[in-house]
Formats: sequence, structure tokens, C-alpha cells
Amino acid sequence: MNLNRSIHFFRMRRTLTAHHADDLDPAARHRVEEHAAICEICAGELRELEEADRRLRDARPTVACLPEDVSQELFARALADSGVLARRERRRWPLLAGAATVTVVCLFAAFGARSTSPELPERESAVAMALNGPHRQGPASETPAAAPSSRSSSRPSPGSAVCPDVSALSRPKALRDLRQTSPALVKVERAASTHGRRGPARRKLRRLVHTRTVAAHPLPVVQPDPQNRLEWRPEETATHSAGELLVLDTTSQPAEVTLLDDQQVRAQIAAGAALQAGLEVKVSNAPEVPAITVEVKRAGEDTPGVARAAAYWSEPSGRTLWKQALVTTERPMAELLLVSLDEERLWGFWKEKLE
Amino acid sequence: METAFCALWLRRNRCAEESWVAAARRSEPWALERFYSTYRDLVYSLCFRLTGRAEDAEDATQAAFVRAFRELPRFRGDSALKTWVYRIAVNEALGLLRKRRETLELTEFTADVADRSPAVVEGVAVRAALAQLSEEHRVVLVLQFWEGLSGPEIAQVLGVSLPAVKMRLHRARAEFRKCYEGAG
Repeated sequence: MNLNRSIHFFRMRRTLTAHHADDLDPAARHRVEEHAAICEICAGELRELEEADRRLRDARPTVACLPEDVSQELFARALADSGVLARRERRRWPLLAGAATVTVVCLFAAFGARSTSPELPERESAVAMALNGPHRQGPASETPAAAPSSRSSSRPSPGSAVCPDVSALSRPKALRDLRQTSPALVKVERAASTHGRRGPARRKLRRLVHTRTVAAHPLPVVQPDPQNRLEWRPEETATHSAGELLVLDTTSQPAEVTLLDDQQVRAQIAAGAALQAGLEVKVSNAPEVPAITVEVKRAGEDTPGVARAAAYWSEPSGRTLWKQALVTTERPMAELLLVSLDEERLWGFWKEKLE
Repeated sequence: METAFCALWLRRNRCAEESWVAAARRSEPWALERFYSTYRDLVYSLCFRLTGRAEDAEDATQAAFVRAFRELPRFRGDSALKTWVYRIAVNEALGLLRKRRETLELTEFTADVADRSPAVVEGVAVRAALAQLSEEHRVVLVLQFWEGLSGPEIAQVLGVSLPAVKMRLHRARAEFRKCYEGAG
């Protein structure tokens, strides 16, 4: 009898399993159910299968969510260990190398041109002119002490004789003329074309490229001039959604932000700190107004710090606009100043140590 | 009408996800954070259910996100992002268990065993039986019964065919029943 039961079970086992897994067509399923109605062995087996599934489902452990601090720590560690931020920076280098070459050439072109233009305002450094473009250069007769409100109206037309236009450099004749007046340009061009991948020359070039990296970053273009003044140029960041938030690294220098009355924004800082490499900033708009939160986390030895801030401003109509920023830096003990700027007004700022 | 709203809602969610997934593939920190906040609980609970210990689950979660952050640029979207994340989490949790060469301990699972109600006792017995299963069988049962994944989803997570999943489930059930009855 037992042998018969075993043989029957052995024959039916595969069919019963398929029935349990819902793998049979309706006709076969119906046949199995009809059989189970009269066969105690198969009905018992089907019940056992159901019971095992129920036991497994009921034993599902409920898992408590990760505590917020542990979760943040895990994120920071995962981000640091993955090295994606560093890789992101490295990926930018080849793209920036071309921009750097143009920058270096323009920079020295500006130096060369300056030597031929004694009336160039002292305050306007050649570096700033080269990086900001010739359209920013004031006419030779204009003094640098002009009031900030007059700066926008004092912009000369492109192609000023004082600072050569970058586009002019692509014209062979213009370039040849410039080479004749500026031996330094020739030297830099040679150096740029023969730079290896390593060595002090390469590092020097990287420092120059870094200057441009800051500009290429989705941040306002901020370059210190000899008077340690920082200028924000909204039109240069018009393509970035992040153009209205300025992040200054104030780890060692205090910063002061002033708003100009001609709808330009100028930031002045005490000693001209520039953004450090490895700083990642993302600013985004959100469709709804959330609870305004400022979260700052100190960067440890091997974990990046994360700072989060939101800036808000109420329109006269009552609508609230806001932006949020997430800053990640791998530098330990960094201190950041998050300033949200608009062309017309200072929205608000938070100064927090990363902790 | 309700279905139309559901479809609209789903489409909006999908569009929203697509936008930040694209940014996450470019390793933009804000998108990685969004990716993390979306999947951290899912990954952590899966790791906890596979490893059975909170500390191991945290380690496995971190390892899973390290790998996910690195691999995201290569994610082609052949499978759903959730399935892809599951796959990484399963591999990391199993890798961690293999590395430690320990069997599943019940320290966490039996924490509430002071409660002697039949449901609790049965739950402990089921987990004890699961702990005795082979890794392959335990994973497939956890994914099916505790994570609620369908057969095709389990196939994608484990990187095997659907018939192979069915076969594994069948064998895992049989092994589980043997262990459970043996323990009982």
C-alpha cells in the first residue's frame, strides 16, 4: 500500500508542483483539481505546498529603516569609496585642456598688449581681462576708480586695441603680429604644445587650467583681481541653472558679499580665496516649497562633507521662490559660505561650518 | 477615469525618474543622493534579510552603493533600475557572507523570542530552517516571499533563465520543507 502511495506521489509530484506554481494550462489545472478532490495523497501534498508558502510569507521579518545619521554616513562613505567625484574631475581635464590652451594664449597676449598700452588701468589685471573676455575691457581713458554703477555702461565695444580679441588669434596675420610684439606668447605656445603628462610644467599648466575649471563649473565666474575683489557676471552663467548661487570657500578667509545698485552683483572677499578642487555644487529649483532645511556635515579624513541649504524669497504676489544647493567636498574641515544671489537682490545666506 | 489618472501618475513618475537617472549616470552628486535615498531602504532590508544581522546589512548596503555608484555610468537600462539594484545588493550580501564564511546566525531574528505566541515561534522556526538552506535556495525564497519579486524579476536579479528560477524555487521549497519538518 505504501509502495503504491509512493509510486503515485512520484508520478504526480511534478504535476502538483506545476499546479502550485500556476504553470498549467486551464484544462490541465482542472484535471488536477478533479483528481485532488478524490485523491487524499495529492490533496495533502497540495495543502502542504500551500502551507509552506504561507509559513514563509508570514515569517517575513520587518526591517526597521536605517536611522538618518547612519544613512547619511553610509552615503558619504559610499560616495568616497566609489571615487566617482574624483573620476568626474579627471574626466573634465581633457575637455578643459583645450580651453586652458586658449586661456594661456589669451593671457599672455593680454600681457604683451599691456606692455604696449601704458594707459591701461592698473586695477584691471591682464588675467582678469583675458578670462573675462575683451568686451569687458574698459576704454583706455577710463579710470578703474569708476563707481560700480557706471561699470556696465562703460563697457567698450569688442575688438578693443588694448586687449586682443580671442577670435583674432585664429587669424594667422593677427597672430603673427602678436607674436612679434609678444615673445612671451611664443614661449608659452611652445611650452603648451610640448607639455608632457607629468612634471612641473604640466603642474603649472594644471594650475592655470584649474582657474578655468572654476569658471567651467556650474557656478558664477569668480576671479580675484589685484584688489581682491570678486565679480559675479550673470551673463556668463546664463546657460547654467545654477547661475544664481555662489559658493565661496571661506576656510581661511572671511568673505563679504555686496550687491551693486546697477543690478550687477559683486562679491568682495578679504584675501581672494578661490574655490578648491573637488568641490561639487548642484543647485536646483523645486516645484513646491519644502520646509527650509540647512544640513551641514563635516568632512572627515576619508569621507566627503555634504552641505545642503535652501534659499527662498517671497514675490510681491505672495508666491515663494526657492532654490536648494547640495555641496560635496572631500576636503576635511572645510567651511563654506552659501550665498544665493539674484540679479536684483540678495536672497539670503547661511554660513556654516561643515560639521 | 481612475485608470487614466494612474497611468498619468505612473508616466510622470517615470519621467521624473528618467531625468535623475540620466544625471546619476553622469555621476552628478545630487542625482546620486536621489538614487541613494530612493533605494537605500530597499537595499538595506534585502541585505538584512539575507545576512540576518544589522551590522552585516549596513556593510553590505554600503558595498552595494559603492558598486552601484561606480557601475551606474554603464547601466544601459536593459532591465529596470530596481532589478539592477537588487542584483548588486544580492551579490554584495552573498559576497559578504561568503567572505566571513559564517552561517546565518539568529541573533537578530530571535530577539523577540521572549514572546512565545505560536506565530512568533513559527516565525523563528521558519527563519531557522531558512538559515540551513543552501545560499542559492535561500536567496530565491527570500526574493520570492519576502521581497515579493515575480519569477521574471528574480530571473533578472540572479541572471538566470525563468525555467531555472522555477526549478530553483521548486527545489528550495522542498529543501525548506525538509529543514522545517526536521527542526519541528
